[in-house]
Amino acid sequence: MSAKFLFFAQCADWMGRKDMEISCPNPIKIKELLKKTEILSPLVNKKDFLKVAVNQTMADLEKEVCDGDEVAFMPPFSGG
Amino acid sequence: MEMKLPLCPLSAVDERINLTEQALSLDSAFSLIRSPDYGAVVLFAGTVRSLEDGKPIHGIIYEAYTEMAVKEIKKIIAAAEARWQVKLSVQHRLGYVPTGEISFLVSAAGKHRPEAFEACRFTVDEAKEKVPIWKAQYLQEKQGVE
Repeated sequence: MSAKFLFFAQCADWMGRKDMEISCPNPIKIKELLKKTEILSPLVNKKDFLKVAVNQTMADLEKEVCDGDEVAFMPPFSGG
Repeated sequence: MEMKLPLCPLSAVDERINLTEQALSLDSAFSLIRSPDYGAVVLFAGTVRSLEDGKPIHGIIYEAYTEMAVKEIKKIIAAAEARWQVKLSVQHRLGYVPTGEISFLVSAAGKHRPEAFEACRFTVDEAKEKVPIWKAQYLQEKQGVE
C-alpha cells in the first residue's frame, strides 16, 4: 500500500520537499511509521511540536495510515 | 399580492469563505453577509505589522493547506451560526502580504450587536487555533528573506 504525505511550512523546510508517496505495511500507526521510515527522520525529534492530519482531519500519532490516505505534517498554525 | 424581494440575498457558505492571493476588501466582507434581517455587522481585520520580534519587515508570506482550511472554516462557521443565529464570512490572504495590508478578515452579522461581537470574536479565535494557515516567511526590510 502507499499513502501520500504532505509537508507544510517548517515541516517542508526540514524535509526538503513538500510532498511524497511512501509505501508501508497496512495498517501502520503514524508513530511507528515515523520510527521505521528513514526518510521521515527529520521529523522524529519534532514529534511533540508536530500537528498531523489524515485525510484533512486532525489526528494523533496513534492514528493508523491506510492505503490511499493523505497524511499531512504541519507546524502549529499561525494564520491571522 | 405584493412580492417582497430581499435587498441582498445571503450567499451560500462556500461563497462566504475566501482564501486568496488577491487583496481583501472590507466592502466585500460587508456585502457578503449584509441582510435586512440583521441590525448589526461586526468586521475584524487582521493586518501585517511592520515590526516582527523587534525587526522591521516589509511583508509576510502566508501558506495554507487549502482544502483542509476550507473544511475547518466551514465547521467554525456552522458552530458559530448555530450558537448565535448570525451570518459569517471568513477570508484569509495567502502568498505575499505587504506590511499594513489585510491578511485576515472576519465579518459577522447578527440581529443585535452582542451576538455579532461574540460570534466574530469566537470565529477569529477558533480560526487562529484550528485552521491550517501559516506565516511561512517574514520578509525583513533591506535584508532580504529571513
